[in-house]
Amino acid sequence: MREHDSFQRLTDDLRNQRISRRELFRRAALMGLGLPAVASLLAACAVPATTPATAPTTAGEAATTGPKMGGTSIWAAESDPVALNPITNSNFASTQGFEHCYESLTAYDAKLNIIPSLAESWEQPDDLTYIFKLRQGVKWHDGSDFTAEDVKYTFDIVLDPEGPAVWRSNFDQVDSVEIVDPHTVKFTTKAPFPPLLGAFAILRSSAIIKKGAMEETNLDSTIIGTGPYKLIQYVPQDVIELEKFADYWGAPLPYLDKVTFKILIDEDTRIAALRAGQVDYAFLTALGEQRLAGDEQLVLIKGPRTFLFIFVFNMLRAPWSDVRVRQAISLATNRDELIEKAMSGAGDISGPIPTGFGDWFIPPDELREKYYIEDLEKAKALLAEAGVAEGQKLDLLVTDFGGSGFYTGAGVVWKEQLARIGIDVQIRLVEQGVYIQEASPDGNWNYDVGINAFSPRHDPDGFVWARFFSENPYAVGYKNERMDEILPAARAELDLEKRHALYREAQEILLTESPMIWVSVDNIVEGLQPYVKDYEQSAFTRRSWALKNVWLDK
Amino acid sequence: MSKYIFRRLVQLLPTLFGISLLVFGLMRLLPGDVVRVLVGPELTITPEQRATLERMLGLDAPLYIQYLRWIGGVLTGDLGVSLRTSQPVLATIVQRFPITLELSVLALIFSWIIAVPLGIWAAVRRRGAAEFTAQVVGLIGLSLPNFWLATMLLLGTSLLLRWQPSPLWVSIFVDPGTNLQMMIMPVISLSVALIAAIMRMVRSSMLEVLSQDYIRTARAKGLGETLILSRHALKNAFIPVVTVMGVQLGLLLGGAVVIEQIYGLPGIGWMILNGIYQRDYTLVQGGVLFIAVVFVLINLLVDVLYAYVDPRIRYD
Repeated sequence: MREHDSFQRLTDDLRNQRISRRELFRRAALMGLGLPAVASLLAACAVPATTPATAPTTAGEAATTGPKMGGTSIWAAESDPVALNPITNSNFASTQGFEHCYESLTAYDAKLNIIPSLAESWEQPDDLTYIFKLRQGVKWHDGSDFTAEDVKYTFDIVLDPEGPAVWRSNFDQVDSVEIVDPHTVKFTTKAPFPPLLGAFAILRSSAIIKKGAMEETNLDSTIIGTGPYKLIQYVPQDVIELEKFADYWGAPLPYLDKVTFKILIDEDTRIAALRAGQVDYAFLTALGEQRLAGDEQLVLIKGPRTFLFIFVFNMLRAPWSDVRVRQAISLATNRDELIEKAMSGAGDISGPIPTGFGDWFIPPDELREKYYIEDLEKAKALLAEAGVAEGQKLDLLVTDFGGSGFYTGAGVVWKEQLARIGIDVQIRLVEQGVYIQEASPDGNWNYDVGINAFSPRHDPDGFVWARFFSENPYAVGYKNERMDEILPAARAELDLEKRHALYREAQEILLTESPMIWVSVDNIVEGLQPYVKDYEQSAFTRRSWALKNVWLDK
Repeated sequence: MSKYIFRRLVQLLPTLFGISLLVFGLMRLLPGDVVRVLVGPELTITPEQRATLERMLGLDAPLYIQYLRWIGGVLTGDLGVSLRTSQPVLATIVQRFPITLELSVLALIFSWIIAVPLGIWAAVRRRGAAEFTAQVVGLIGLSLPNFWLATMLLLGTSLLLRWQPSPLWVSIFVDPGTNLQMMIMPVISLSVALIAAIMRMVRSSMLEVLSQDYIRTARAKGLGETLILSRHALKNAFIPVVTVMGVQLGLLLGGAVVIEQIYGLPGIGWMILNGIYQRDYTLVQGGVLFIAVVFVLINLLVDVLYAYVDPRIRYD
């Protein structure tokens, strides 16, 4: 039997220099820690450190420049959650709405390290078993105690194959969830399942709800959670009002007494409100950055976002089922031009795993060198070889998903790019509901290519499994035997190095066969009033860590 | 008159019935359903999961049963619950509608205050500055996209004045100062087109009235211009203007969606539009029905107003 292990013991051993780097990596992999987590572990163990969940100042500093408690703040939200049900909602905006009130067994910090949350520690007695020690003394917002029963209740709903959990697929390798005692839960998987820990943290159908909540409360617009903030009210399209939860397990956090998210869909409105000091925070794009450049009264934080913009082929249709045709199109696609024109240059080219996602991605330099080479002659030759005539029509399905101008702008640019190899792109701009219908089994995959984006995923598996494992519906006709071997192996591989190698090979195959055109990730800009302190930007645009730790210097 | 009003109110019922069928049917005809929108563009659910979700949303019954359930509720004042937020539709409408109502009424009042004197002046003066102003105002007002103006006002106030009203809505009864501050820019944005339309209507109507024989007679009798205007011309000129206003109020109440969205005003227009995007059947059905009732009532009000403005009009 493998030795029992725990986060605690690992940090102890590291600090006391009892283990080698190689051993660290092996044990970290067993616990599902990615390289960023390991890196921060190494950094953290070099100096006496506080664990992330407690107050950021060490004892020595508290006397002078410590964070100030209290204050109310208005933040501008860029999208409407629509509903706050953590089980049935698939949209990222919903997660951004409830992430301050709900928690799961693990969480992300701003650097996307997986940290303990409702589970204080965990160990793996064997590859298929996870024992989570739940944090004690945690209260629900209504005053009752959090126990293992709540976890079991939540996951009975999530794992139910006929249940309403839309992101159930994130847990598809979980076989059972058992209560060991009121503060211990055991998860058993069908095969080794490294994405598990991240699946909790990403808060997609994974937020723990109170036992009985689904039947007894309106989960769509009310929240009983364990998080640092309580929901006072949610008015759709208007506001999300949050109030500090006094009995939060991470007390004295949060610092703020009350936070109101005002939903302002239009970026110009957010810019105006920020400039006038009416909001303390606003999410911006390249447009906002341009408008506010040089404004000395505001703080702008810019950084990469793990949003991967893609063109998706429907490989059930000819000629897109022919790999030569797709390769030709990839050769004619100028990604830098797309970034420049459709994203105002605020982006970085990317492969199948987004640039910046841990260390799983293929670096842009290598992409440019080996795969993203513009070669129109070769493209035309490939098309001719595949028997595609000049003037071949391509039905491009487009909708504006919001949050970026890429979707609508890219189609126009791409049309011009493909015209150079004789493909006639017909842009079909539709309303969101229509897009979702047409690009789904319900609509019989009625498109040739669709413009879409991957929102942040918890694991490299999230960017490839659903789309490129041929038995999955959303593979839309893609089948590669080697991929069908690699992908199941990669999502069950606990050894970090081996896992890296598998995903590397997978990406190489994908870049060669081009079932999608991966364009880029983009940048986000967040604007803050100067008195908002300790805000840390997250590449996932998740603000739960930030809102827990910010304070107002006024 | 009261018999007339009663008759009109009774006619409301078949109208609403027709509208209910129409909106119910149209929403179901839209491609993509609420479950598909809920699930989004990249997830797969099993048929069993779909069945569960449909059951949770009340969509598992045959269409006519769903319609009957809904309309039965409507007749008892229960418009159902939103499929996405599970909040009662009527409560949501009651929360949203006053915002759009206030915006519309303020826009109309503001437009009236500017457009009516302008229109009268243009009609009375007939040449020179008045004529020119009328033409220009008319042209600009009708051509200027109100969403462009809205954005310009936003940028202008925030850049030049470094000022914005509070983003959080308060009712005019709770805090009139803040509320009216929030309304300034949206009202101006909406008013530009209204001013043009009302002004042109007033002007052309006045011109026609002022050329009537009875006006000439009044002048011949020696009545002063002001008295002619106030006692004889205005009232008669206003009949078509009242019609236009009624229509405009109805349109405004349908929601100046873009203005509401730009200024972050949670009004009813934006509620309905977003409901359509989310395929929130009950919310849209309830919202459209509500607007229909309001529209019919406004028309009734306008017709009643006629009777006071024009003694020739009788409804017996």
